[in-house]
Amino acid sequence: MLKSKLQKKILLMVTSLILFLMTLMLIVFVITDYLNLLDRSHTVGLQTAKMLSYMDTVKDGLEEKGDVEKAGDLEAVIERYSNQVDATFIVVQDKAGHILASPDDSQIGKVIPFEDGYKAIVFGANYSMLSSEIIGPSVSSKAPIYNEEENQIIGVVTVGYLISDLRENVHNRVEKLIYISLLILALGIYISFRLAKSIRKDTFGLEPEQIANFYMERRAILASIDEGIIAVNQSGKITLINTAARSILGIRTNRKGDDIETIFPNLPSVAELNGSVTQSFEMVYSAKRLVVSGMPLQLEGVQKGALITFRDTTEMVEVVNTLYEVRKYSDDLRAQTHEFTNKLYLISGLLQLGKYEEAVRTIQTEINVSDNTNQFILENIKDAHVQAILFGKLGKASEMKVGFEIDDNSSLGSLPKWLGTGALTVILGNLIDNALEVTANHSEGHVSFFALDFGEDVIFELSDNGHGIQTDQIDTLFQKGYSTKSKTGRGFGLANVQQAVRSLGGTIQVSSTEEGTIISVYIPKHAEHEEREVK
Amino acid sequence: MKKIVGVAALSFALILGACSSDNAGEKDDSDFPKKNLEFIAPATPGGGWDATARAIQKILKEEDIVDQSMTVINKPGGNGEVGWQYLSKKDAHTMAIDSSLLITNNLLGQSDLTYEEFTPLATLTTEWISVAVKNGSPYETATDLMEQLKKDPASIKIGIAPGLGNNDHLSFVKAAKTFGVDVTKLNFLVYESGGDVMTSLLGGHVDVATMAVSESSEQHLAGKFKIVAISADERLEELPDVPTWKEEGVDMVFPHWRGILGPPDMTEDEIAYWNEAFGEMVETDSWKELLENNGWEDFYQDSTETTEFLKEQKEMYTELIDESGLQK
Repeated sequence: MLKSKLQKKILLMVTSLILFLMTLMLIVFVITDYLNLLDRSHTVGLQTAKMLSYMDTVKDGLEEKGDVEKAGDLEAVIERYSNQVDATFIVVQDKAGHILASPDDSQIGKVIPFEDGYKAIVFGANYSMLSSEIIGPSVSSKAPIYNEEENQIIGVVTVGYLISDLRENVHNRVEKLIYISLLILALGIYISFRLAKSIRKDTFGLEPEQIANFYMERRAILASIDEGIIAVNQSGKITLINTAARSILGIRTNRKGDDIETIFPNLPSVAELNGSVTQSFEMVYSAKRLVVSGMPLQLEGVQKGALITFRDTTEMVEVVNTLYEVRKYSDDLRAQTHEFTNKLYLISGLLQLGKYEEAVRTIQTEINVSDNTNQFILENIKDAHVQAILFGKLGKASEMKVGFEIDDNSSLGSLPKWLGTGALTVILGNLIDNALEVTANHSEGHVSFFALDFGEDVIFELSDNGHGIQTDQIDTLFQKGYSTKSKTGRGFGLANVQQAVRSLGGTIQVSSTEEGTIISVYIPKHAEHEEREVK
Repeated sequence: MKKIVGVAALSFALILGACSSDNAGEKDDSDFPKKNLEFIAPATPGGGWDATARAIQKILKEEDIVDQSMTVINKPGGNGEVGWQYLSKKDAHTMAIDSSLLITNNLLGQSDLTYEEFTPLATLTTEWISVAVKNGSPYETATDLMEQLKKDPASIKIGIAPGLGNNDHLSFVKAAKTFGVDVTKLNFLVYESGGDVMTSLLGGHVDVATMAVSESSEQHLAGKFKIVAISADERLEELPDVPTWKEEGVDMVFPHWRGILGPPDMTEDEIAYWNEAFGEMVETDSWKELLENNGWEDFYQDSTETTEFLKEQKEMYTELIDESGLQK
């Protein structure tokens, strides 16, 4: 009948607690009540006995035993007081032990020797004791009766409360208490049902074991996930942070209870993460490129906090960038092929028209141009990677109808191995592409490339005659997302350049006028970069 | 935190120490008593207790034992109960005469007071209890008397004062019990004072009376009635012809002592003061003369001894009173 273990548990606990407390209370009550009653019987009995012993009716009844009228008076008085103080019996004995008055008529006239009444009859003592001398075990209070004239003891009055009567009194009261207790017990059971229900509501109807399982699972999941996960409460305090999050962020301590601001200063506040929409954005955390998602935690429409997940995308971005470059080269080569095909059509046309001289001149010009540039590149730029990049870009420039020339003073030997292809591709590819793109719309678009490695540094310089860059934009030029091109997914080019340059320990200089822009890159030849820490 | 508590406790202790040493200085013997002393006689003027109190007051003053003036006040009623109740609410400058009634009142349900609530200061005197028969009585000796009582306990009227349960009564019951008398049937007539008992005996209203030797010896010597037994351990000098209960076959010595009781919670210095004062008093000639004149015996015990004595007495009385005559 009980659906859940939790209910059973709570019911058992509450019931046993109530039962225990009630039993304890009842025991204490019974004991104190009984003791009180005994005490009261002693006190009231003794008072009554003393009072009766002074009464003339009692004295007369004892002194004039033969007088029927006096005996009747005595009976009446005894009965009245007996009722008033709830005594079980009041017995009057004369000095010889004859019973003169007793609620039990059959006792009247009998002799009961003074055993428990000894102190009263001999020493005139007033006292109360437990005695079963007269009518069963009782609290008996005794007082001596003196006669008026000679001050002799003439009898003893005994006021008694039967122990069994006292017990019955207690018993009756306990019975009532037991009914009340049962009512309380029923109430307790009802409340425990409600409590269990309420707890189950709070725990989505899960049993404690299930919750424990969920918790274990959650810990295992959190530990096994590569994504960083941080949960925050309404006030933005961290309530949970998994191992991956700590290792990505390079945090050693737990950080639980800290403000999320101390880790992600630029995060939109928890309140802003409203609605059930997941918001993603990219950000940099100590040189790491993170993709961060924020998701609000809601319970029945009330914001309870937020869950922030993030991935370290540094490596992935590099891969994507490289892929992007490679695709561009293939595009560039296609352009070159296309360009060449056009020229071949031209030559073929000239030959068919019989204009052999024209054809030969065209071929020679073409050879010259490529030979001159190619020759120059092959002679002065010794590094194979840079050569490859330049050849590719030459084709692209030619297709874009932009003049692309290599400065005559350029001179570049083989570059050290640690200046990897990736970095060079990123730096030169992006810079040249940017230059080509800004000058593409110019009627006389012109881009010049210069490279030199005479001194300590390798210097690359790119100048264009584009529209230049606004001074206030130079600062933001290398930030991620900066782009003059309005397409999405862009805006990482120059940022990547700066990242690559910095990682090689180099610097970038930008000077821009209305006539154009010159971007210079200085990369130290020696492998100091290894000691330099990237800011 | 612990340190602070420690320091606080220490300073508290120091303050307490300072206070208590101050108190000790104040309560030096030279400072007690500081004011007039009250001496309670828990009886009407003219009785034995009143006489004792006034005699003690006189000696303490005349012998310069106590400097402060001392007033005897009478608080009669309830077998001493009234006086002792009064004492229980007073300070150390009050004291009262006490006797075995202090114990028996409680045992007989007539008082809630016990000696433990007070400061017993001294036991001073004791006297012996006599049983006397009227002239012309058929009973020549105590044994004759007891034999008759054994045959018919109600046949003899016994005079007693001022109430059942006092030493006179208890000693007679104890003797009777030893002879196998059904003491529940004994016919005691309770009189207001020893004088009334004497008158009754002389007038023949009672057959037997039990009273202090100091009260009865004169009449006995004068031949007005006859003392048949005394509760002393041996025959008395002034009554050489009277046998003790022991001689009559009852192993009983029953002193009727009187002492001095102080209020509750007296300091050791105050107790020491009285130990010294009473110790000095019982050595004086006038004290000895007083004992002589009243037929009392010296029974001096100091505060500690008295406390011990009261404890024994209480046990003795408890046994005597609680032991029913039929329960042998």
